[in-house]
Amino acid sequence: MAIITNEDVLNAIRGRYQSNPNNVSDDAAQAELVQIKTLLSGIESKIHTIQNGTQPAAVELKGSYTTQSSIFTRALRISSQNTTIFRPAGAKGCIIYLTVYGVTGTFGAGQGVRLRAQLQGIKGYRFGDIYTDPQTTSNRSQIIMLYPGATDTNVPAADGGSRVIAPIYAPPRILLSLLVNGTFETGQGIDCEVDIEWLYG
Amino acid sequence: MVVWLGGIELTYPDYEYVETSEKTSPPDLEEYGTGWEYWSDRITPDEHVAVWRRIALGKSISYSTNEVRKT
Repeated sequence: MAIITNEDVLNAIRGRYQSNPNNVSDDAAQAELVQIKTLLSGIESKIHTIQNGTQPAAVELKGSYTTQSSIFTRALRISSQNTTIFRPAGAKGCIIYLTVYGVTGTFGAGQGVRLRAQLQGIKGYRFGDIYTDPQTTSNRSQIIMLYPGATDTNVPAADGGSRVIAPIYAPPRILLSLLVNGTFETGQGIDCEVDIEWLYG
Repeated sequence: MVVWLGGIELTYPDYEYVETSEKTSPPDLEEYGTGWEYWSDRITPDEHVAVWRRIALGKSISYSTNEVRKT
């Protein structure tokens, strides 16, 4: 006569003596498994869609950051300068700063120092042309800001400063000019510099 | 600010500026402190002012010689 031990009883409960031993039914586990399979199926479907190129990866950057660099270093200037700047990868907008420390010389109407930003497309052709106002005041700054949704509503301009704010993305290229107009004797000029702050995110 | 003069590197001072109505009227001592030197005039259709300068506080002036560099 076989002796049935406690272990045999437990094994029977676990299904060890069933025709399909591991086919133990657990409604809660089954329901959870179905949920997991559904979730995996959805993820797999999205991966295939992205791999096929029919939908870009849904990447969302959290937070934002900026970088700064000098465009025209601080110097005493009596003539204009220009350079082409290229939008760094990932940058969404920018602020171009003209800092004017000191100004001497003789200036007619419409003369002084100012920024000009010629906005260019990916092939280098212009589609926009931005000027700030000519400035002859010391200790002031000018900015050109390009950023989606940007606005200067309710922010009065400082006397002698100038700004242009456009609610657009920074273009791939900007032909940036520091325009200086006036008559200068020896030792006179405009002590100024230009920097750019790239805005990401 | 760096200026190249025939192989001599001059670290040009980072000046700060104030303006007065004329060359004979230096910046107010109490408001602006000391150390100002007259730089030159600025003349526009709307104004004629005297511009004064001094090395910005916290800045230093240094002069050194270096080998000739292309700029």
